Amino acid sequence: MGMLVDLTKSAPSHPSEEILEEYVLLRLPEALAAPLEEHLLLCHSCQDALAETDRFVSDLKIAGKHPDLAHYPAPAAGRVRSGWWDLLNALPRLATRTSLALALAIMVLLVVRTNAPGPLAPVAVNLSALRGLDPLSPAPAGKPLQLNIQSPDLAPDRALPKAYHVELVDAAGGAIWKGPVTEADGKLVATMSKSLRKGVYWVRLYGPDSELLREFGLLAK
Amino acid sequence: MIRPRRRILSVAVAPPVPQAVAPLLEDGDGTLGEPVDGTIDVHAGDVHAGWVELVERIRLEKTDGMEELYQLFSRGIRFYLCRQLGPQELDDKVHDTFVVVVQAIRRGELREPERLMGFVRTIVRRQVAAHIDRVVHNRREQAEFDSTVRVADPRGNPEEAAIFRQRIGLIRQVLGELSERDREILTRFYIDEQSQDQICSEMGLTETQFRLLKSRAKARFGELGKKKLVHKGLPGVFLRTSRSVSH
Repeated sequence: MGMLVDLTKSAPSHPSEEILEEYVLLRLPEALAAPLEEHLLLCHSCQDALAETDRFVSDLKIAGKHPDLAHYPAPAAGRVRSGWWDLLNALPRLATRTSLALALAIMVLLVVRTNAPGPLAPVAVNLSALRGLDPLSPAPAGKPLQLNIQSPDLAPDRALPKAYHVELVDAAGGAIWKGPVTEADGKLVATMSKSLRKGVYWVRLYGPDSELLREFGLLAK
Repeated sequence: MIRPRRRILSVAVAPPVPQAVAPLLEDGDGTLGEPVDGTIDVHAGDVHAGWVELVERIRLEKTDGMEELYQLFSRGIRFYLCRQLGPQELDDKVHDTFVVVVQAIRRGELREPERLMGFVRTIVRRQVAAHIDRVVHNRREQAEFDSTVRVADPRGNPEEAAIFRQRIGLIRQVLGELSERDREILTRFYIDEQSQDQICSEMGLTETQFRLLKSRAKARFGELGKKKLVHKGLPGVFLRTSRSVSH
């Protein structure tokens, strides 16, 4: 006995481009992610659309942040330099430019001296459960890290602020660091004061009762 | 804590409605839409009956029921598993998931047949979680036996790495050739993952302006990329950067 009706037509309407982008960026609320994922189980055209959105976002992120590609001109840096250069070019005389450059140099020195003894601010590292081109999230070695855990399945539970904790292990599975997870701007965040040497690490996220929920790859370099 | 199990139980709402009769529209705010007139159409019962009938055939171990289930869901399950876990041993994972779904239906664990889609989704998500758990435990056990355990280089072979670098370099070039505003929109939204509210606030844009600018920036990014692809012959990201909403 065949199909009585075409069940592939029974999924809710096709999601908009914005919905797919929010889903790919792991920002879609659960109430919308559930029907979207059900729709994706049946709808081939939306699977294709999501795959393309995935690739677009993934490539843009890697292009924007990959440290190995520093020899390519970074758009943001280029823009800032161009702005300062334009401003300097607008100044009328060489003497004025020199004075301004000296004043800037002194200001920079003062700022550096004032801030030198303070502790290093943690560097934000986004950890995602999505397996993409780059399963290991890049992180700078030798600096404290702020681990931003991105997973649409996990939600900060304000009633239980200590519900989650993370463990960092090295490539051989040896424990390096353990710490609590806090909530910040709707995301799960763990701040490591300890800095890492170069290498591959794994960040394990545990829930209440020490249940292992997720594991993320981290490449310190 | 993982929410899917609780969530799946909570979304047992009205049965899905055939799109051809009561189309759900995309709302202006980007959320999933509601039926045009808010009513359940007369064919919803047919679809409901379709799911019930399919589940019943699977429960009775009829081959055509399992074939139909596989036809309906195999591509979606494959897509979900590949997206979450990567392409390794994908056929085995799809097969395992399908077997779990069929066995669960036969055991009578699907109490609301019209919720088959949600049921399949729950099982696929559990399969993903179980796979990750297995990988973690295997790695732990392996580490106990071999202290010099090797980790695969995520960059792939030299040829793949070269193609990857070329593609990323091209994307950066195109980003660099966009106007400042276009580049800022794309960088803020996709690379820095700033929220729409933050971008609108810091760039002095309304919500509508932001959407328009983002859409145009993506289109220009695609156009520039295509022009470069003509010269370099790279596959990829530029071929479709702005999705039509026609389907």
